Amino acid sequence: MNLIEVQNLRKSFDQGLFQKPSNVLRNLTFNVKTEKVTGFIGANGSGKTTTLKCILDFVKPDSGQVRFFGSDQLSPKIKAKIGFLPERPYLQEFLTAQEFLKLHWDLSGGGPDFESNCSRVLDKVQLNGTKLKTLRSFSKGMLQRIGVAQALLRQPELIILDEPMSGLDPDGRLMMKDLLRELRAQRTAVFFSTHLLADVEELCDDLIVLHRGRLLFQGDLTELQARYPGLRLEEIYREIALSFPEDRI
Amino acid sequence: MNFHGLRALTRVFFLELIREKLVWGAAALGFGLFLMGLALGNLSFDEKERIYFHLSVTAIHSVGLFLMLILGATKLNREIEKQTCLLVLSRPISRQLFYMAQFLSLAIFIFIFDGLLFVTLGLSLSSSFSPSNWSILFLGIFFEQSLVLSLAMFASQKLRSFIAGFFAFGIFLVGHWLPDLQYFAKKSENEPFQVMVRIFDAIVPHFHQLNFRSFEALKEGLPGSNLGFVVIHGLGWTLLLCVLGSQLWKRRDLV
Repeated sequence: MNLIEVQNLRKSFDQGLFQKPSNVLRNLTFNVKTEKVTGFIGANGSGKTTTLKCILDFVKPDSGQVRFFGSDQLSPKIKAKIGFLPERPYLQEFLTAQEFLKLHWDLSGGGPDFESNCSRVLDKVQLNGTKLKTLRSFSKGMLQRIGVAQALLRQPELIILDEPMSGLDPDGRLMMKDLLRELRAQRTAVFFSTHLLADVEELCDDLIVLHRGRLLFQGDLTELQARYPGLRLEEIYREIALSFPEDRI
Repeated sequence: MNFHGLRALTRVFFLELIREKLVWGAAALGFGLFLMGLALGNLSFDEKERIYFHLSVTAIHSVGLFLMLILGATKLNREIEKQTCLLVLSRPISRQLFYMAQFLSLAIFIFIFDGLLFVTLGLSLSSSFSPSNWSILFLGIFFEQSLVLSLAMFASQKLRSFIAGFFAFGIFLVGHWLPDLQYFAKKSENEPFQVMVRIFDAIVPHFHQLNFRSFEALKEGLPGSNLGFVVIHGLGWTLLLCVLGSQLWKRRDLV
């Protein structure tokens, strides 16, 4: 079953009065499957973040369609099934970790089970000892972890992460990888963008490759690796990116 | 409507707001002008209270207006520039609710800001005046500033922050000059000018009828109909601009 279906997505941005608009997404079509960890890779500027923003309705596409859980509308009911963490999340630093999670709990409709869910996610990201500390005192890695905790708070069916390893130190990256592995083991669907191919190789079931706003590949990672025996993902990526004719771009 | 979300978001935006340096700078300026009014009032033998009152109310009015213009014109554009709204908007809340929470946090802030300064003013005047007269003065200034805020937020959906601030200030000035414009239109035989004034009269909020910054109004009081007009006109325009602004915000690309 597909959790997200992206069909013929196009997006361009105006550059100025006398300049041609820049086409960021060109007829993009792909699916994100249930119970799979899907990596979304591409070079800087290939349109990964714009795609995620179109998916989450932060940016209105010029044309095309995004379907969630079989529905055309990203209604509040559907949004409640998704956890999201942007690339550089803004976290209210004057709040404590618990208050921050309470804010996101209330934004998702509130309810009586906050305490147990708060402890559950703080345990998961190993921050339970710091729940009464303000986010101002957190390191970058801890902030990323509390960001992940808010994404997991409502036990979402799908988690979308934009460059979750970006700017993390080795410890932070290890923790994030462990967390993704755990989610994979629990069969929670994760869709994350990155340009770190080693992480994709290690963590993903499926792969979506984007190049200058076009889809280069979508499918099972092991199938792709079987097509290029003996090559590392980095080399495979170079192969498929180079084989993509420039006139199609 | 997600009231849990609206309340939580308004609270957190308010807490963010009171951490802004600009707000503390404006508060210091407001109290500085108060002290200046007190000093200048003391130079007069007969008009001590009148001078102090006028300077202090002008301080409340202009500092609040300045804050609402700047914050209203920049708040949402800054959310987009710094991408700070993405995490909150990924939650099951609508963009309109986000807009309303921003507006409410600023309106609550200016209500408290004006209220504290009015109480300080009331306590520092030696004569006592009717609470209902104080209320009309206070509500007039509060609704005027809320209206300017909604105007600046609305304009910032289509204009750059700097231009949106000037646009809102321009409408504020025209709204205050309407009686003068009507007088000149009556005297003038220039038909296009008369038509223009009639259009302004219809489409610009009547700011000149929203506040009564006068010592006489405080002493003598005002008829209840004035308070009714302040509430209905101020609230009506503010709600209309909030609805229109939130619709534009809903359609914006957050890049």
